[in-house]
Amino acid sequence: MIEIDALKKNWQNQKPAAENKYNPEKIASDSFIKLKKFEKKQFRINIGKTIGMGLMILYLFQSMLLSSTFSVIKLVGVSWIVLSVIYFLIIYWKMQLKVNKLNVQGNSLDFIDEVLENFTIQKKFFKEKFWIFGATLLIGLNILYVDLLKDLTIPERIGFHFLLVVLMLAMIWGGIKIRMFRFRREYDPIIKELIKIKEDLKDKK
Amino acid sequence: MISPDKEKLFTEVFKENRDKIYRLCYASINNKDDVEDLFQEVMLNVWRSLENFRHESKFSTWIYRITVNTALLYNKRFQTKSNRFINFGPTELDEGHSSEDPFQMSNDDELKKLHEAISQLNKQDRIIIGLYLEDMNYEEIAEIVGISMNYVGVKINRIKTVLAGKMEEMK
Repeated sequence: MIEIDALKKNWQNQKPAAENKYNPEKIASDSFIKLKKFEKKQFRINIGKTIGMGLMILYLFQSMLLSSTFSVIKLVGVSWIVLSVIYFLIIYWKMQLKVNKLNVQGNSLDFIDEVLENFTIQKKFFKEKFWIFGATLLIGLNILYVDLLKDLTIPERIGFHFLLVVLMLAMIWGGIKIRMFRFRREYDPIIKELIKIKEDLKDKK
Repeated sequence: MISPDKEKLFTEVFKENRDKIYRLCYASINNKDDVEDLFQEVMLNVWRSLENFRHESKFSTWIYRITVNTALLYNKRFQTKSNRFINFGPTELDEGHSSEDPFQMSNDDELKKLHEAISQLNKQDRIIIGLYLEDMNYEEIAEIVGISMNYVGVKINRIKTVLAGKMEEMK
């Protein structure tokens, strides 16, 4: 019978084959430089996203205020849309941040619980909260259309509003379906694996 | 702002633990082409967590906890692309650089069989035996995984029997 314990020393003696060829100090310092670059890049991406979004909002308001057809209803509609987008983006970013800041320093069972909880929150967000987001967008757009369609007849206006609602609902439904498909494809295998590991370990804790 | 202390600590951690972490990464995943990716992910998590090390446990236990948790969550499809650009291997500027894998594992026949047998285990067992082979005691493994010491003992004995059996079959 093979003694696994007898192989321990040999196991621990396994070293990178090219160890002598490379200077470990140099590898460590190179890695450090790469990490610094990585952090800077992440920071720049986040700043870029925030500035981009701010500029888009400013442009939207500026062009509306300077437009000859400016009205209070239009302002309310655009503000409603912008605020709901910002609100949901904040929720989404906070959720993403939580995923990126998983506590990898705890024991594995606690870590698995935390990961599964995070995945559940994400799934819930796209399954349930996304409908609320769609509904708020729909309200904002309908407010805008109240102003844009004011010169049309009542039946025409009702028709346009109806069309808008149907199209938006179809888009939201499609968006959720795509998102859930991607979620299932990307996350479900790892969720299943983690649940299996947790059951194997926890039952006999 | 990155403190010089953090840089110094990371360099030390990297130098002292690189081989151990790499071996555990190697044991914990089946697709050996992904070992480098997983190793990078671990080092990135070590870097991100360095400031939070509270000296409540041994430094080695802390590092292994990060390695094990990163390995548990490691899934090629799930990885964020942004994390993958960091390559912790030698740069092209290094002298003597070649396309050879810098982390070639041993050519020892018994060890090859052991690697082969480990790769047939499930993920949690691969990780537990990986820790055991690094000379972690039951108490430390229990602390890392979050299960009782007795259960660690039961698991390790079971895994060792399975591994020995598989290695016998390979003879």
